[in-house]
Amino acid sequence: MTPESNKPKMRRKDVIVRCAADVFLPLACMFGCYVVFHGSSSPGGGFQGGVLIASAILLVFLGHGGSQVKDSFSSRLLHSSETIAEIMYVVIALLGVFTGLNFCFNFVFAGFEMETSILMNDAVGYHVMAGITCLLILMLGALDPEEEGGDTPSDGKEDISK
Amino acid sequence: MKLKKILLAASLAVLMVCGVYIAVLMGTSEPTYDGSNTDLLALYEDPESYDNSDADGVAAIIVNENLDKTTALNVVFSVVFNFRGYDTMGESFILIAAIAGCLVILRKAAKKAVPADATGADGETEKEDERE
Repeated sequence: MTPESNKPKMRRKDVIVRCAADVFLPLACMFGCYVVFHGSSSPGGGFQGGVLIASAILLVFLGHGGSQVKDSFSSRLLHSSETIAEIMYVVIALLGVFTGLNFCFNFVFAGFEMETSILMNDAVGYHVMAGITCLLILMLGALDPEEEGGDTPSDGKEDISK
Repeated sequence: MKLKKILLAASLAVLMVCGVYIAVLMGTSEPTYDGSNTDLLALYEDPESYDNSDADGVAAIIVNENLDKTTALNVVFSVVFNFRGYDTMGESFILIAAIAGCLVILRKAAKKAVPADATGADGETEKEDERE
């Protein structure tokens, strides 16, 4: 049943668009990870880097269509991982309370250029990445049927006839 | 049902009384920062050679003792995640709430759009359930 029902939906895009999406997808993810992990010493941080990673899903949508986005990402898992990241943030912030100090106390681990705020930054980056990706999947899923019904088949037929 | 409504009203009233009390406390307490020692014109004209050791309040601590208190070179990072870590936690809870609201709204829209085209796995399973 699945291949027959997917045949009218699976209209492959041009080779140039697909290859460009495949080339730039890892670069976009790597740049976002760089911004998240170097938040303490350079402009950027968890929020901005998380949005940069999440915007990489638009490349998947542009290169491979909405059905591939639906197949390869699950919004439920992303929503639960967002909650997991929030729990990570709260647990890291509670480390101070467990040792008899303030909430959100900043530990500087001796010998390393490392402190709890950097771990909190990573947790926020993961949180924003999962949340914005979930949001984009939902929005693309709501937009998807109109676009596939209207634009793409007419364009393909015109190209073939000419 | 009536008991639930009464409990809800009572808890909201307690929250409102606490909020009013805190607002009165905040209004009557002394301000911790008045920009008396800050010369804005000199700061605007020559920001690099401005002497900010006389400034009072939290801003002077953040600017002058950033490298002593944290290992972060970026002052914005240390404000967001060190000095205002509690605020950042609230921001991420707001993000969770916003995305949960979008989930509720957009899932309905996606489910309505899928059976109209009669494509996809969700529409088929719903039809099967209706037949059974």
